[in-house]
Amino acid sequence: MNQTKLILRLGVALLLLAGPLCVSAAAAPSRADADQNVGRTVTVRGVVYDDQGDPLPGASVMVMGTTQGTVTDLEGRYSISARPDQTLVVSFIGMKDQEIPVNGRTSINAALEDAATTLDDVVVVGYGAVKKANLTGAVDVVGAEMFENRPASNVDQMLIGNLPSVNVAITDGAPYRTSYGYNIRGDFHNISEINLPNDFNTLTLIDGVEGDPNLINPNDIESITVLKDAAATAIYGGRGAYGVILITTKSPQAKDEVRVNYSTNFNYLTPRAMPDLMTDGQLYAQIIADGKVHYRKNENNTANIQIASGHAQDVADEYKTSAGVTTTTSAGQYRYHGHTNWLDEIFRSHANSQVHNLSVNGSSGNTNYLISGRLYDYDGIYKGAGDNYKTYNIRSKISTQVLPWLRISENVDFTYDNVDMAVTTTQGRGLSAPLATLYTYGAPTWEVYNPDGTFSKAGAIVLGGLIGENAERVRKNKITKNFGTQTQAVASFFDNTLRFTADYSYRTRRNDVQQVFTSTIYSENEGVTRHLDTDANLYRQGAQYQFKTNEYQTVNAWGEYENTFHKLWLKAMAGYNYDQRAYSEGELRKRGLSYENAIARNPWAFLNGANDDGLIDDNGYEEKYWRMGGFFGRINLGWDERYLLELNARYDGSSAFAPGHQWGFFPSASAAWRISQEPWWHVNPMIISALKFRASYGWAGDTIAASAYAFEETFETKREDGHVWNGQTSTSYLVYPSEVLSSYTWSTVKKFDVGVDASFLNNRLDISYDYFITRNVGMLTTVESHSDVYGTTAGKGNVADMSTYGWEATIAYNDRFMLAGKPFHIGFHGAIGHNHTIVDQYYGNAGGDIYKYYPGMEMGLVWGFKSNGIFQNQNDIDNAFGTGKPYKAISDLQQNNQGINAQPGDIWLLDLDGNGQVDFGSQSLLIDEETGLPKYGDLVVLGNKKPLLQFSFGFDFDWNNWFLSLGFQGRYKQTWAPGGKHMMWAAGNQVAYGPMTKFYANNYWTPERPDAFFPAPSVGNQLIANHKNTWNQYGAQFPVDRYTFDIGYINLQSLQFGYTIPKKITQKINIESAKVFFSGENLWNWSPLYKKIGRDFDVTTINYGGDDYEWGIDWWGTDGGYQYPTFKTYSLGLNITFGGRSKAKAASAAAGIPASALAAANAAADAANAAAAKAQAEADALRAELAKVLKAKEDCENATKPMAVRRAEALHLEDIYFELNQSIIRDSEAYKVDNLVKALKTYPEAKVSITGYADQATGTDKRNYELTKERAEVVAEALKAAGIGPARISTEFYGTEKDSSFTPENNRLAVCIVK
Amino acid sequence: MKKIFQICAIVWAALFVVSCDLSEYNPNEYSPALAFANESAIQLAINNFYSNFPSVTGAYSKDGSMDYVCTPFSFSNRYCVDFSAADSDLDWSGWDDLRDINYFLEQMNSPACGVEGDVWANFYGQGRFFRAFWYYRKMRSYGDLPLVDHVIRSNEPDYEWQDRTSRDVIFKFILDDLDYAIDNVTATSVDNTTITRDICLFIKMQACLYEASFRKYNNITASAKGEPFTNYTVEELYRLSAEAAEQIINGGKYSLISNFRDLFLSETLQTKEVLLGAQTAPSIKGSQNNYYNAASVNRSFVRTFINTFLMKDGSLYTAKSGFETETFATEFNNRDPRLASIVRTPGYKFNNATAVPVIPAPSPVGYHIIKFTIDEYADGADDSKGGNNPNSTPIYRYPEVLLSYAEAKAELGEMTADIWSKTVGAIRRRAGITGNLDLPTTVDPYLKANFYPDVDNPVIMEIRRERGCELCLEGMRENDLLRWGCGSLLATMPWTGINIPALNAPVDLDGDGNADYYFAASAPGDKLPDGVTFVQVNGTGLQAVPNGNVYQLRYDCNKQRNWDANNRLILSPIPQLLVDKYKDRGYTLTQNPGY
Repeated sequence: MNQTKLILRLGVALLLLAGPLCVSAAAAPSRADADQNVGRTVTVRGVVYDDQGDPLPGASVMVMGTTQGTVTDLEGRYSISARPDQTLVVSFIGMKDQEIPVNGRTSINAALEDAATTLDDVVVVGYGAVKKANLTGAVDVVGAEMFENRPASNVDQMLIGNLPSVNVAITDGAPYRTSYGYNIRGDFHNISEINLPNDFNTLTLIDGVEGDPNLINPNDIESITVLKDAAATAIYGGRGAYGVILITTKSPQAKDEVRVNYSTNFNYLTPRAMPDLMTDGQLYAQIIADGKVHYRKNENNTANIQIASGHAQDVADEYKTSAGVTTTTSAGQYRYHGHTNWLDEIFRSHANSQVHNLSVNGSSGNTNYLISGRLYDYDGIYKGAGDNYKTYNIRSKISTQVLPWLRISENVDFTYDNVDMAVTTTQGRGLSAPLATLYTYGAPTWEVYNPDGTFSKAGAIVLGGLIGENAERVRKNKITKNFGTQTQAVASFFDNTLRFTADYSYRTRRNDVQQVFTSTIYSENEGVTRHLDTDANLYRQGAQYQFKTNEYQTVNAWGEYENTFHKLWLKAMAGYNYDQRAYSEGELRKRGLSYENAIARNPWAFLNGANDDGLIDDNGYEEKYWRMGGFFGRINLGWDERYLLELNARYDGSSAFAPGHQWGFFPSASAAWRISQEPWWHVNPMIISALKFRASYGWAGDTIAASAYAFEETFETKREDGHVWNGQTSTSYLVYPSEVLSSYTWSTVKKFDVGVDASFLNNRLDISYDYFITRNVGMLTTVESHSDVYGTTAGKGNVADMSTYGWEATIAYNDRFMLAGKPFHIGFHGAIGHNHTIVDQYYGNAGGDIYKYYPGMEMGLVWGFKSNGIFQNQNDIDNAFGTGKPYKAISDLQQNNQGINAQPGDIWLLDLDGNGQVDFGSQSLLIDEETGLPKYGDLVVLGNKKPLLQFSFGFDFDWNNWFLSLGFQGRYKQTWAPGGKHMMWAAGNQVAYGPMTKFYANNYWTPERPDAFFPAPSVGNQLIANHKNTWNQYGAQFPVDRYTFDIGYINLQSLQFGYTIPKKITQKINIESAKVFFSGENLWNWSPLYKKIGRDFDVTTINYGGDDYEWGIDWWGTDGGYQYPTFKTYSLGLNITFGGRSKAKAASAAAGIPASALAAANAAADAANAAAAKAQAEADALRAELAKVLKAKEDCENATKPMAVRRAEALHLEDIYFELNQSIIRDSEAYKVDNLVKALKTYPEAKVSITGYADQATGTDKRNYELTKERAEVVAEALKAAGIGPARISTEFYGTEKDSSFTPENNRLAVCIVK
Repeated sequence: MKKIFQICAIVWAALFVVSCDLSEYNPNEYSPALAFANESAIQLAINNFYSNFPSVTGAYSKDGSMDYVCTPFSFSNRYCVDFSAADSDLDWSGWDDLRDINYFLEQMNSPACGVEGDVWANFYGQGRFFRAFWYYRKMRSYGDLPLVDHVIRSNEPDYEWQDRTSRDVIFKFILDDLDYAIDNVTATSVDNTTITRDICLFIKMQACLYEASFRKYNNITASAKGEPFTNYTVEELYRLSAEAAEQIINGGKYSLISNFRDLFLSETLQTKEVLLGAQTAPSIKGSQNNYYNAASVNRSFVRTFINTFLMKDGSLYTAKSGFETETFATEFNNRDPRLASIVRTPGYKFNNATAVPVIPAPSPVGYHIIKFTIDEYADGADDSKGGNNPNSTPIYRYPEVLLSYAEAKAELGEMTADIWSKTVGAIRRRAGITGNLDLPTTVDPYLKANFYPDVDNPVIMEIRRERGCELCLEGMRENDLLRWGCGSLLATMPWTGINIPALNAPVDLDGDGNADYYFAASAPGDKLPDGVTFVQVNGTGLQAVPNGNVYQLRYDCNKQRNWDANNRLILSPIPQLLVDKYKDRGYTLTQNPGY
């Protein structure tokens, strides 16, 4: 390929230029040779083409089952020695392997297809699979490559950014946090949004059965299909409301061979962001002292720093003469003058993990099998006893063809998941505690240890669970065991046009959490030790055991029929599904465990009652059962591959509803028009190679909001501890049920989707676009407010409506060309999407509260105040609302509760409604009758918590065995209003107690620093109150525009760079393939936030966890969650595949194998070869058939097909062969000329190129040159004679100069149609 | 397209017309069928309603904001100026409790109910008792009420948004329930903590007395909408009350125990005299000592009320010359011995040491309440800690039966010397009063002048005195004043306190020879003697008003107390928001007169 072409290719998206691309046919074999040469090694030659019809250099050609192989040259040619009964394997990176039986031929050309999804690929959909070309619904697919060789710990982490329509809520970076939660085309903030009428949830099916994707081995995944619109999800009826994710695990391959794959990753993880702390204790104390003065104006500074009775100013002064830990005279009380960086004390610089995957895949006779295993081992980021996570997966799949029409398969998997973590002192809060305790014990003025080695109080509180005596003994242990089995039978009849499938699955998951918590020893006075939290009335010292079990059984049975009648393609399917699920949960918690018992004895003995120093704090047991059943069916109709129609319907029942309301009917219809298949479509495929319009509309149902048994009015039993009734001290009473409107039923999700799929540049560029509207109709919420007399809150009914509007676009580009003499493959994929949700109908907010739902509300709005910066001087304050109009704000927005008005250094909020003060009114949308203004005072919408756009894109490169891939993901425009307790404000707002970032310390207002970002520190009531991010009595928050940030970002989600060791080398040591690679996750990101407040916080998780604390800490999180840093991961990996040898070869290679066994193996090999020969014959017949198709003038459809398809299917214009030293068209070859004429007449715009070749075996070069010229001219004349214009015919002749070989087959004319 | 859907739907419906029943029912909670399957379950359903009675931690904190109590920190906003219907949501809530009771009654009548006969009637009667009790209390506040006799369902909007029904009809509804309960409740209680037939009678007695006197003394003859009462005359109501009381008395189960103070300082309820009470247990203790000794709660009796306690010989204290200026040290000499059980009197010992009232907090004007508290630190260390008082507290006592009986009889004109002796006389005898125990013949001018100006019947006047003295702080005072047409006392009674001998000098409050307090406008320059506490007076709040040769403590309420001239406060206003809400929906909720 020349340089110009290369440049053209690179500019493809814009320069849709027509260029002559040569399409060549595979050489027709000389039939006479077939079967004559069995057993004798011959030289096979040929050319390997890519799907554009260009010769493919660097492709590997192997003889199957041997180590013998070669690589194509720059012209795509190869030559290899093989027996006529052997099979060639042609492969190239990024393309699908092709296996071609030699079948006695000596010339074999091959055309490889791109491995990327093509229109002919089959996509897994609900209860079946369909060719991508025949899809009428909106479906996304990712393949195994998304999950292989990646260092991430679970599927969710790998899904981030890889599926354009799937939102993964990244809450934190703990690898053992298994459920991020995601949704499809839904509300992005479902995790933190409170009171959402319907909880969004996505149905996730693993091999057709509901399951937790994070409990399976990512390496087992063959593909993930996301069903988005009603056309795709209606087959799941009532469960497909919020989209369906279908995970298909890898299946055993039917090849008669054994393949062993081992891969490993060694990972090094460092926190993506860690606040850069200001550790100068003296400065810290001084800032607080100043802040206190600011808060109280000129009152005495009395702010305590949380060290032994230290007033901030005193502490700051002490630093001038003291360092480290000193003691005061009274009772040897310690005083601290530290410069402690608490984050350094808590965290290691990095965490480590490793992954090992091993799989064995093979077959024997009618049976094939796949066994895979994975070990993931993680050693956490916390110091000391820290945290550790191990997970083991095992899966085995076996499939056997019992009868010619019956296949039975079994799929078993098991997961063992073990999280072991330190439990810190306070209330057994798991690992959330160290960070959470910083809120009050994170001042740098503390020291961790006293001079005698005991903990300081802060040391004990923050680090007591990680380091020291407690750390080893007091643990939390969470074990999850997951076991599933699926048995499936498939019966097929009438040439596989009629199939019946039935399966039964059983899955059980058990989750056990055991933890012990106790207090740590510390010292405040020299020589005197104490325990933290010794109050036995609080369960700060105790033990706890919890278990949860899930049992799940599913039966599916369905039949399908598929056939083509002339131009009509028909596929029909009908079936039945039944699910039942049992859930149970129990807990035993006991408090009052003494410190000595906690560390000396088995805590479980304590729980069992072996110690009597405890008091049962809580115990409970609950179980729940669900059942669902559904009848479903689907009809696909296609006419002439142009018009496609699909009808789905499901009749679904659920135990979540009362009898009589359990069943719902969910139909959908979708259609597609492949306009590029129309006979009148004559667009150059180089410009538009395929174009399809789709539309779908349908209903799905939602039961998610209907919790189990909620349709029943039931009485809860409660223990009564406050009364003695009739002599009984402890008795119970029944709580009467609130109103239940048991007539509620499925809410309906109506989905509308229109889409277009287009391919350009001969399918190098694919673009899809979808616009969708999802209307949730009849969501289950409180029906209406009642009078007080009614006596109960109204029951729930199907009364609220909500709509989501959005669009998605994807783009993919794949190309390859030569770079520095080696083939270079480049791929690009991108996706972008937007959605927003509007509440259409909602009762229960008659007061128009802006923080509740109301009709017309857009979800995710951030209400807050506008500011005019910071008051620089008293004049600003006195004339804040105009000359002579001083600043005034209602008390909730006052800088403190002391009634002190604004001072220089405080935030200047704007009085937008001009009522003379800054206020939030009644936070209501209702209009005030007097003023005519809405009653939300000076509040305005500052933005939306949802991102405006979500996008992802990536690149793949392959060159000379090197490969590089990059995956980016991000959001555009998203508003974040940090909560009042966020560490950004310094110290999580607890300036006197918590840590302070350097960014804060350098950016707060002083008269000398008028342009500072933060207001002047103001320490009162333990708050920096004057940032004005106050909470009112309703718990609503008032952000300020100045401190409201755009947290859009772009993140380098994944990067892989590696090298595939050439087969030449690996095959010598019987390794089929081997690659080594570097892999990284989250290596880089950027956000506009960083320009504002630096890189202290991880922008990708910053908006989770209720806006509190750094990284969005869940202050009370007992599960170690919501505060775990996310990581940059650096990983080195290796992936090796052994085997791939045929059994016959393996047997003969092995010494000492009995002759009979060898004979049997050979017989098997012969049988396989016979089968291959049969397949070849069939392929030839097909080719002939296709040639006939071409002759039919009225059939023009192939012209609209992409070039590659045409070449593959129909335009097998055969080379014209000549006798040695002859240039006469033989009778046996004449039909080829006739075909050519017909083809040219069919396509009047087509031109033909005739190229003559000759063999080297005979004749001189000159003679051969003339001969090829003569032959070309003879054929050209024949064409002219048949009425083809000379302008349409071009001839070339190369003699033996080009493509010459020693075989007579090369006495030919290659015929190419040129468009 | 729609046709295709329809065809599909028909095909599917035809195929699966017999829909499977997938029902699953909650295994963790009681279904109605289970909850009403047997006696023990129904008992649990009844237990829910006991929250209508005060608990161990609530029974002692009654009558906080009454005429006779000075309570500067928590004076009820209702009796202040600026009180209006708009900002008021006094106690309209609680309809959920009524719904629960109606739910109970409905389930008892459902086929699922697993009991029958007398057992059924006993439980059903208890349910109806609680409904009557609910309506009786709500009626006291609002008069007319929506009449809800079943669980309202969402398809009954007119019923849900109904206007109020005349209290005359409501009262018949209450009495029907009570009469059913009286006829059918057979339950007994080993410790007088749960419902018995006697409790049903007691509430009937109380309710009828309330309704009779409320109508009589407030001259109420019609509903808020003007519908005249037809079901009951005042006389009938008094008679019904008297009959109910008579039944309790004739039952003979109850009597007056000998020691008044034991009623409140007993770990086990004095079931001879207490019909219903809140019983403690080791894990259930009260906070009485904190409630009456912590400065944050702060209340004491006013002197006008203390003055109504008789002399020990039965004579009027206020007949004694110079009683107006008598100081704390001597005013309790030869008085009704109950006084020493109600307030700290000279010689009172707290934690084994002589203790004077703690002025100004928790005892703002000097009459430091001890009726429910024990004379030691409740937890042995710190009396500011609550939750350690082991004493049970009466809710309904026999003396109320006797006093109600006497009042009804007197109002009916049927009082006799014998009835007097068995009722008021018995109560005074038990209190330790030795003389003047016969039927009174003269009207006490002090009571008439300071409390009940319209009462000319000496018997009725004495019965009212006795209700105040015997039952003070037991939860009936507000109702009594309202039904006697004396509601204004709640807002107008001055907060007078003890007389002290001197200002600006150490004073010996209890006459034990040791100075206790130094009352002055400002702290003395010199150091005070040991044991003398400085109390600031004549600033805001506490005043020392010259009273003859002594000074009387008074407390100025920080709010402006007010009894509306139109007497509207005898009934609570319907919250204005509700009235508007009804109006918005096209319904009417009639407001009470005067709002």
